[in-house]
Amino acid sequence: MKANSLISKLLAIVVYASISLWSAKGQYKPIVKLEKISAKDFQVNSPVVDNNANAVILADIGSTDFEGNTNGDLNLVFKETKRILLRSRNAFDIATVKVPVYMGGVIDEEETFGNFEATTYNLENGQITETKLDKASLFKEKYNKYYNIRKFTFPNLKEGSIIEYKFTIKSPYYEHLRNWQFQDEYPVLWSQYQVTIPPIFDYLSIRKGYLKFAIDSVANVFKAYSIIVSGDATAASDIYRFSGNATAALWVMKDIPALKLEKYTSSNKNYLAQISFNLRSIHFSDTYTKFIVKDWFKTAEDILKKPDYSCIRDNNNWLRENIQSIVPDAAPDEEKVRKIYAFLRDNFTCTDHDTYKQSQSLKKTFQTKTGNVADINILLMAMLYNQGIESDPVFLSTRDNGWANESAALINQYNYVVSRILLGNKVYVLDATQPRLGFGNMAAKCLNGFGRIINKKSPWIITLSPDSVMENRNTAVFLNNDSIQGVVGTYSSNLGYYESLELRDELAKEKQEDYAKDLFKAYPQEIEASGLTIDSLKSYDDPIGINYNLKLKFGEEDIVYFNPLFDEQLKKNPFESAERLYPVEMPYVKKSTYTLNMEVPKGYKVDELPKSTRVKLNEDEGMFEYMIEKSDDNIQMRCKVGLKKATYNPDDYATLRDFFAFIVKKEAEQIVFKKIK
Amino acid sequence: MKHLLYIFVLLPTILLAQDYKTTLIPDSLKYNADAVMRFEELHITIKGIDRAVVKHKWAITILNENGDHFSFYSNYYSNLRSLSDISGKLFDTEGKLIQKIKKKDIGDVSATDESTLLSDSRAKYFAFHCKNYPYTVEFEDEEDYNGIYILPNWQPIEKAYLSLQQSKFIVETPLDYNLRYKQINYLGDPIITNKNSILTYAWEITNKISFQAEKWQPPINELTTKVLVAPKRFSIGGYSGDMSTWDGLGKFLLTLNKGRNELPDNIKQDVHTLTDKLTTKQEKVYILYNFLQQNTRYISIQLGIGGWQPLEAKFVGEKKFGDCKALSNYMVAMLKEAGVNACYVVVKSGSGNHFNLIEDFSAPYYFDHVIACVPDKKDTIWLECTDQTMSCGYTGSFTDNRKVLMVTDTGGTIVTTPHYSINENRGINNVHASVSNDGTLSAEVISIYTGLLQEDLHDLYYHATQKQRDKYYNHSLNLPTYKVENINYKESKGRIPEIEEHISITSLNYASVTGKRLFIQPNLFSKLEKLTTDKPRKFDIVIDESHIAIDTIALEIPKGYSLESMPKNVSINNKFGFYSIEYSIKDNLITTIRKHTENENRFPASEYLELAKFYEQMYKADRAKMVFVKDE
Repeated sequence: MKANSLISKLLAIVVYASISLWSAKGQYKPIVKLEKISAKDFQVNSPVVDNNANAVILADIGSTDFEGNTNGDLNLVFKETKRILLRSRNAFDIATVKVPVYMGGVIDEEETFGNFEATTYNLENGQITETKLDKASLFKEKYNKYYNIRKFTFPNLKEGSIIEYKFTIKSPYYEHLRNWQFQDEYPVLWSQYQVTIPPIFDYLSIRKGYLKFAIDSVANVFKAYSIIVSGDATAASDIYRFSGNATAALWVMKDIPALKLEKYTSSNKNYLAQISFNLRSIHFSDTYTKFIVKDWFKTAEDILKKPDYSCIRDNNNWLRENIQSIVPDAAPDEEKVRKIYAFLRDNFTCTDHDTYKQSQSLKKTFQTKTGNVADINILLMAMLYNQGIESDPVFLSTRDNGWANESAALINQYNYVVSRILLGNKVYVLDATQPRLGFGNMAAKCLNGFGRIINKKSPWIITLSPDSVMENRNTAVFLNNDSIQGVVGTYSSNLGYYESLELRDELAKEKQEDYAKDLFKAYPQEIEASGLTIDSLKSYDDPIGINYNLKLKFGEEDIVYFNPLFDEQLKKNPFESAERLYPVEMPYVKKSTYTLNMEVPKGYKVDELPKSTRVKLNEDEGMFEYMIEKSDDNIQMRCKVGLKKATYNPDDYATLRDFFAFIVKKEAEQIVFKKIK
Repeated sequence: MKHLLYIFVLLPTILLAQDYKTTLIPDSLKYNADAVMRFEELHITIKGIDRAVVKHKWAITILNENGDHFSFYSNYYSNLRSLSDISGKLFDTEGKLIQKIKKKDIGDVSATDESTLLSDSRAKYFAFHCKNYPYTVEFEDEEDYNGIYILPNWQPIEKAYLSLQQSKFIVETPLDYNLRYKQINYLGDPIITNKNSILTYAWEITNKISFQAEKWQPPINELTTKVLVAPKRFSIGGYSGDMSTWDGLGKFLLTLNKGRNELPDNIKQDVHTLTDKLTTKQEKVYILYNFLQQNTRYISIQLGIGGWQPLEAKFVGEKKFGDCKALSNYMVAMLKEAGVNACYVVVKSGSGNHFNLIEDFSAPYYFDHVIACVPDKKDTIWLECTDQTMSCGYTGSFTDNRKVLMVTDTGGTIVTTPHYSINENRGINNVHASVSNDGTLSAEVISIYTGLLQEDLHDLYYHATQKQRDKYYNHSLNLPTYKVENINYKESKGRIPEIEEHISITSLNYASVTGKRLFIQPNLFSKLEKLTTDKPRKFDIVIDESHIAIDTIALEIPKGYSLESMPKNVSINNKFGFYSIEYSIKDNLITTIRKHTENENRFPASEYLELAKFYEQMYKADRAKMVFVKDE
């Protein structure tokens, strides 16, 4: 039992002598107990509260302490008090509160939810009225295997009500010390979290967000803990006491603006002001410390020892026969890797792209052809190993999961696993869970900085950065005078890799003829497009080529206005909002080149040609070039848009927006042909 | 012994197993289909007035990725309806069994949605994943009804792109049960047999070819085969009734609501304080509706019979929240306290092309919402009690223009909610704009929207923050790089609500200025899209809303340009509606007047090409360009 072992080791604890209190530095003091609500609380004056705020979190105060329980163990005691002013009906939905209570894990017991109170305060004719929520209106909902939800809604709400609730959760799961989110959908005036940790525990805290703390302090406080081991029929209860210098940390943020969501950010999780905890070690005695978070060498070794990952190197004989029907035994390694990868990618369905843990056995994954991202990519590695080909798991955090901390070996920050393999002297990173993904390519959502190689000898990182991925598109249009048909020509375009992937996904669901209709519809009436062919649609490792024919029906018009870019023209600025708080994070670095070669239509002359232009974005971060010239009866143009990187700081936003505004404007320009009279 | 057991278990399986080889599907059923229903049986056994067992078994062959959702199983259950014996099998294209659902693989989740505080509704689910098309899934489950109110309907083809080989609907009832049924698009009568004092009704269809979804198509219920069944006498949650007439169903609702309309004393007092001095019914309704809006909010609680029975008026009075049933019941109670006769009304909610109830087949499953109504010979007032910002007496597209069941003091009767006609749904834009030398557009827009056309703006006005509005406008206009500022609204509440909207727009590069030319699209905002004509139209065209749109745009361009080319005026008047766009130029001021009206109507499929041509003409006219040349 975990409990007993903890007790026996605890007895050797050393008590520190020095006691210190909160350092009194700084102008702010923590709130010990919220003041009684008074009339002035209904009026808020704060730099972060404007007319847009439908609600204001007046105070959110939380703490986590440890206390001994009667099972011979320690509990985490989490307390929260939250006070909210509801200024508009549009925020009434936050008056329905859901608190998840954990009940899963190894020992399968629900955390204890208690000390619950909830009250609505209304200011009526200068008087404050209180409506308490009756206990019968607190509901428990079974959410899933791991969580129950406590749910309640406040009675007697009006615009202008203040609601306040508090509760305590006692938890035996001290690996789950609750995180704290300072920032919210609504402005927060005061958010405070205090964590007091007994000397035997060591937690690593990780902060995110751009906001500053009003208080950020750590102190030592003397604490005594008593743990009871309940007796039974044959034995009396035992009480164990220990005391020592606990580490008390206190974080306060004041006047926190509401969180805003913006386009082209990888994850709002990266910007939300919050603090999270990971149990690093338990110091049982001077001679024994159990490390939960270790260095990457040890962490990789531990991961690979667990059945999840050790099965890669098991003697999976049953695989051999199955692999033989995919690729012959005698095939060279590279062919084997490519065939096995394609087999998994094309026949297996990934049902969960958000884990690094196996959900079922290798055999079940193989039989049902279904599994999560770990199931499938681990099967890939096991199949390769079966053929004598070594590969390493690579852990990564996807863009929507936020950035992972590079240095600390905190595996909970990761939510995805792929595989790295060395073929000859070339490194490939493989993910068999994305349909139609090319060999050695990564889905755009996996490009979030880096991946961690899970290898006990060399647990290094590999770069998976949007800035390192080039997306090139090349388009060429040729138009000639045909004695019978007028102006005819060809369009051909080689798409970038990710654009190709998107088109493959689209064409898996849509018929090619329907796609062609949509594509051709974008041309103005006087241009007829036909005969679409798509190259490399099924060869997933190559970019797609699109080709079709064009025919211009200039007819009898005296003046023809002609945009040389056709539908390639950028019609709308991708950066709509006028301001930006967070960096712009595009999924890859994009470049496109468009060239046109055309004969001046018979019977017409060029009356006006757009001017050639070249502009740069911040010296060397991007370039737009629009070159056009006429020689004799030929018009040649080249239009290039290229960015040098995928990520831009908020400071560069205005420049970036102007850059694209200029492109939109320039690309709208037209050639004017006049009939020769 | 062991051998015997094997034979006993295996034999029935062999006999009953269907052959799911996909080559057995006729080619005609595969054309334009994502999936083919191979076999279905929906079997209801009615055990008595309040007990029924529903067994459902079906097999679907999935032909391509778009049909994958048919390989997902999910079904709801609650205290009044348990769910058991779920089985699922996956077969390859040869019809060989390759996977079976295991009990531990079936998911079980709360089916409570975001706006619901409490409900006993839960769902079980499972999904097969297969990429080797075509493949076949077979599912089976059993529901136990503890109380009968709503029986399942049979509609084998519920959506587009699904073909069908065979489907059966069987209902077994006691001899004296008096099952009522209604057939839609079903030829012939059910086969009814009487065996051992059990009446069995059987319907069956075979070989139905899939249909494709079309814009403006009639409601799905008109397009495919459907059979509705309902009891005469029924009992649920300790309440019983007779739904063979609308009056009977109304009586049942009266029983459910009985004794639940008692208001707390302080609310009674509030009602009298507010209304005693008022003389007209309209004034009383208006002030009490306003009181309801100010003092309650919508919170859904659905437990057992509470899915149909309102929470008591006393509860709402104290907690100040409730769902549509509770709030409507509370509103009716307040109106009655003020001496105004009012009724509880059940309705099918939702905007757009909905399925009206069938008047000669009374049953509760048409309905999913409750409103209140103050009946009057000339001026009936309808009240949506879950919305805190709506105009008093405006039903909106959520409940307009449909048949509903009004619960009176003695029973129930079918009435129709208001219909908003063309002159009540107006969108008028007045634009004053100018273009600068570099092509930047500045425009002041004053718009007036009424009736159904003001609903989006109503939401922006009441339920969006200034920032959300900025975001909305800065995404919704069809301009290159632009910014919307100074958004203001003025609302006039009323039976036909009206919202006036003011916005200022600046758009970079709106006009294209080249060396010597200026290109302008004088119609700034209202642009219709084309209709697709690549496939022959199959269904009638149902246009379900009438409205009128008028744009007047005065656009000033820089001085020193002369007109080079100008679009022609267009005016088209036909059975589909009216469209006109007219331009006039005086000095450097271009005035454009665009009018478009569309009429609620139904046209045969044969007129679709004509309608598409009309849209093509409007598409072109909306985007016509003017070109000016710089004076030398």
